[in-house]
Amino acid sequence: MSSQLNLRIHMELQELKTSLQLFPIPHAIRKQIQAIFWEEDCATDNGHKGQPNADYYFDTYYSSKCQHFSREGGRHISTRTHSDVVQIASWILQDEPRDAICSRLLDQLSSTERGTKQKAIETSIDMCASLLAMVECGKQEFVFSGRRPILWREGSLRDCLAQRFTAQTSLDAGNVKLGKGFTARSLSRIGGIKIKWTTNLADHLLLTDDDQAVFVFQCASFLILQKQ
Amino acid sequence: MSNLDDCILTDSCPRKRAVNSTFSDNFIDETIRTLALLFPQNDRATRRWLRSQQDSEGNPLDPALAQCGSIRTEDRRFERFAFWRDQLIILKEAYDDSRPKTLPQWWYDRRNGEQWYTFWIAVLVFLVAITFGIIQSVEGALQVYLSYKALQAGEL
Repeated sequence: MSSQLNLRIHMELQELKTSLQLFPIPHAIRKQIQAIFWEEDCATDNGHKGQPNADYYFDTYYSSKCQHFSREGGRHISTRTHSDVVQIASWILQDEPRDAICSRLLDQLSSTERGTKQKAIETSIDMCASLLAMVECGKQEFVFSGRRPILWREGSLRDCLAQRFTAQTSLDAGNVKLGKGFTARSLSRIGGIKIKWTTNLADHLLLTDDDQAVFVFQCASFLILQKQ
Repeated sequence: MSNLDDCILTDSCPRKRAVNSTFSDNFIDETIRTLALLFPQNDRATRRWLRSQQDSEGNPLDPALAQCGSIRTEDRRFERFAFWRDQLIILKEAYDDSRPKTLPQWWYDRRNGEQWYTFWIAVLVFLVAITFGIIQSVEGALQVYLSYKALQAGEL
């Protein structure tokens, strides 16, 4: 590896060592996180005109999740900077089991801290999993979200999600087709079914409010980026 | 050098990962198709409707919602969906069972054409009857008043 590239990576890491509570998240940091999360080459700009980019994800989801988890001075999480988040995220993406990630993080602490930080580390892993998959992960006691969480307790996140989102065969649809009129606009204008926007994939297409509203996943650019 | 520096500079570098998503391609594909179903890209009314919507915090929606493509007729079957099938069946049932509650909903709901015509013809007949009723009442009152006036004038 050339020394120039080494220097570049080192500079990138320095950039990532920025507090999670700095808003809006600078463009350079977004690019770095994107490179890890979606394996995009950070040297090329992915923003072809009209093509979805990750700005919506960062502005509405990543920022609000960081704020959400950092409340009360960040005492509920062990992650402080974007580089901490990226570190856990890269282990999750390498299919490390949850307990392995947890013990890696515990190893970085002094023996006196280990006893007190266990819960903060678990919450941080849930936070990184939520950021990566856009699924509410873990039940956080310090805040009420009203969403259906996915409980990732063991194994890799990929396996946990594959178990949660499996092919469904329990209901029989008969010969009914989804007609052209079956759009979100008709659902709300004709059927009186309100569209409730959600950033939790686990809530997507779920009926709520006595069948008077339906959750719809709002971050389409996230899905399109995953596909690319 | 911290652990992260090691991680990025060695072979386990996350940039060299083969898979970069926590979901399977099929799952992501199908989820995009459910959005294409609900927000068809080629439907101008849907695009206009999306622009008028806001998320729960009052922010504009993701512009990519209108870029999920459209769905072909042969893909409009429930068998074409695996991960979201049950939710789609339940949603379709809720939609089919819903009955219009407000007048604008009655106007837009043309799923059952016969019912739509019956309802609006009844509304039209009702309105016409009311209008003529009012006109007739006013004319009747006027007639009584004028004949009373004429009677008075004749007596003088």
